[in-house]
Amino acid sequence: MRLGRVGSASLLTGRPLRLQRWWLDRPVRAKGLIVIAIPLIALTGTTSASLALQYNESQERHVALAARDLASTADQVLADAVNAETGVRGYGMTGDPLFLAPYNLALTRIGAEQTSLRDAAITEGDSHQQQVVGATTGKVLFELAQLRSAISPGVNGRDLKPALEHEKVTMDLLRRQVADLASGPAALEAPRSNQISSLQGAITILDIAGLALGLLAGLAGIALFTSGISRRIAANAANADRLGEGQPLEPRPPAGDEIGRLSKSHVRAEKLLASRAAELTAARDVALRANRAKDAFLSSTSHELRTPLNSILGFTQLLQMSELSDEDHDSAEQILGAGRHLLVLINELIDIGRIESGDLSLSIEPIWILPLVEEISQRIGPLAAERSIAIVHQFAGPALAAYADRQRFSQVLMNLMSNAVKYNCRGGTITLTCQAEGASQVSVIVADTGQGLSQDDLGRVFVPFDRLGADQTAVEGTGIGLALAKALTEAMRGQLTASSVLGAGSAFTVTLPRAQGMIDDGPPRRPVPPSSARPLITAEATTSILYMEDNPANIEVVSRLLKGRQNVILQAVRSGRAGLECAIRDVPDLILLDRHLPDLHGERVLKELRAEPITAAIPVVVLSADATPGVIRRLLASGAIAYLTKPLDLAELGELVDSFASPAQESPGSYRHAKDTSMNSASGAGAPDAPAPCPQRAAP
Amino acid sequence: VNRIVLHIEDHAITRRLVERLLLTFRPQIELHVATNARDGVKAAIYLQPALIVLDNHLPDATGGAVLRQLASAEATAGIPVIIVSGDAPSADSEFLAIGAAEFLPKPFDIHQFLAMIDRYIH
Repeated sequence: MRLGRVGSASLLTGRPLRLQRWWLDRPVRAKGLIVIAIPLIALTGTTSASLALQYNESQERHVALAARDLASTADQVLADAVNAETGVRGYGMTGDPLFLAPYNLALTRIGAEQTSLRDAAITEGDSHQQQVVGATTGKVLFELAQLRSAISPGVNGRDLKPALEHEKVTMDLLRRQVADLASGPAALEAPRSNQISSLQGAITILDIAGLALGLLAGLAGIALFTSGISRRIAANAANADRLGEGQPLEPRPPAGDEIGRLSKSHVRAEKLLASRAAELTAARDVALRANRAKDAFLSSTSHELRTPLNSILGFTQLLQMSELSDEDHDSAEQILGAGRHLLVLINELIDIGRIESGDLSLSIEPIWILPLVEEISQRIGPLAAERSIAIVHQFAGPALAAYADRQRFSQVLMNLMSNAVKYNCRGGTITLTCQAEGASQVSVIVADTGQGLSQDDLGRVFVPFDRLGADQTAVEGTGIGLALAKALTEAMRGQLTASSVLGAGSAFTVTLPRAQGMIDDGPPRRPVPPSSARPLITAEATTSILYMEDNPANIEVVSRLLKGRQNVILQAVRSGRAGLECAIRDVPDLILLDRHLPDLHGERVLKELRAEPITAAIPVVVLSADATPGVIRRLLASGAIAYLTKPLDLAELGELVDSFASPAQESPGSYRHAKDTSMNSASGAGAPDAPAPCPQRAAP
Repeated sequence: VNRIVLHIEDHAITRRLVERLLLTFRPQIELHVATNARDGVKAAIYLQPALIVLDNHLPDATGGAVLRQLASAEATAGIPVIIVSGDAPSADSEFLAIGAAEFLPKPFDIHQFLAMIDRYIH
């Protein structure tokens, strides 16, 4: 544990100790082996030392025992010899054979003891003393035998005296030798037992030390593995998490083992990521700059191309109006056609650029689908008729309205329908279907009976400039129409999808968010077919209408509607200020006022018209998409004679204009009353397809 | 009756086109031209035209700047201005918002151009 703390302290200071550095550089496997080996080595060392000591101790013990045996045997020999001598002396003095019994016994025992003495001496290895003792013992036996023969019957005590004396000398010698012998092993025995007890102490100490060392080494290993390695792994895991989250790494001390390599690879990965991120940022900046340059280029190109195109188209039109041969007129027509095609291409390119850069501005409002589809199909009609293509409408169910930008939605439909004509077979059919897609969406399907597309081509049909081989044919096109239509539809929160059967035809489906609630549910009437080629402004006009409207598509719709009326002159202005000026200058008979003008709000325009004495009496009809009852009440209270909801019900507008242009009208006041009631139950009145003939206005 | 139209345009061929158009179809109109913004504003003050046809890309200013200059001077504030521009047709609301009477995108249809002129000059 202590090692672990030291480690962490020096990790904090960032200067690892040399030992620690050495330890950190060992592979984890080596660390594991070291940690396991330390207690094992300690235990093995102490155990073998203890075994060696025990062997020594048993040797010493054995030697001590042998020495003691030798000493006691020698003592026994001496005692037996004394007994035998005493017996012989007694027999010699008394002649009593009873005294000879211990002599005989001692003699037998000495014989045996001499053998065991020799054995003990051999075991002992102290051979010189044993030989001496053995020789002396032999000599004692010899003397005793001499003595025994000396005291054979008939020998008296005096005769015994020299033998006894001789015997005494031998006995003394034996005594000395036995004493010597006893003093040898006895002297050895004391230090030996000291040695044994000191060995036993050493063994105990070794056992305890081995146990303690093993225990400590084991604890140290546990500490290293649990606190050291697991802590470093945890720190690395935390760094890996930071790497994943893109945060800066915590610095790790250098180490040569696997964990250290892991730390290093984290650092390398961080550097790699940083350099990749820098590369990506640089690449993105380059791409953004390029994109801005492209936008600027598109914008300036647009201007640069339109100006000469303006001259081409303008002068060609002028030329066409002069006296020309048929051939020259046709040439001028070709120039005009090519110029207009070029213009379409430029506009589509600009639109694509705007959508890509997010600069496309849309004016999303509820739009009746049916009238718009019919309007576009009428516009495409002449082109279809040229190729004998029939246009079939399949509309069923209630009137449908979508949230869309009228102009852009028209553009999408125009593109799909003109494709349906261009890529159809001569004499083919175009089927237009409008239907609700659940409660929240509506779709328009434009299906043709052309060659159809293979699955492969179907996948590329929305790719810009990929005309799927049509560029090899006479079919005219820019190659970005469908890509643009799809982008426009998506910008209006809709989808454009394609399906096709090779050889049978293709179908394109525009799906848009459904508009409900804001428009009354009465089915829209068919729009008035535009009458052909009558100029916008007719010289014979007798009723002047001023239309203040910023959306050119709406102006177009209304002007088409009014083209059918010979006695009406329409003047359209695109802003409130211009409208006020015109109203004061021209004092029109009727003002149509869009509620949302770019400069002034419709209600403000209405107020100013009412405040100006010259214009105060001009009837004003307000047009707007957001018709709430409150707004309608407020507008009528401010002096508007009627309020029409966008998308415009053309029949209703036509009726209104007609009733106004008619001299039979009573007064604006009574008209207002009439329209007040007709607004809700609209437009049940009169089929606009056949507008009532307009009576001439009363003489000025 | 004031039938003066001031055309401010640096592009010679466009000037010539407008001149030809008006000369051919609206001979009653008195056309004056200026080739840059400075001259255009001066001419507007001096001539007091009934209508100004203003190109949006002039060598010394944008149409928007000229428009503001005209609107801020008392002598020219009331003159309707048609802005003619080669910018995308959808730029119209920007110009109407800063006070243009009309916006005519290039290339324009000559009928459309004449109809627009007719709204201001009778």
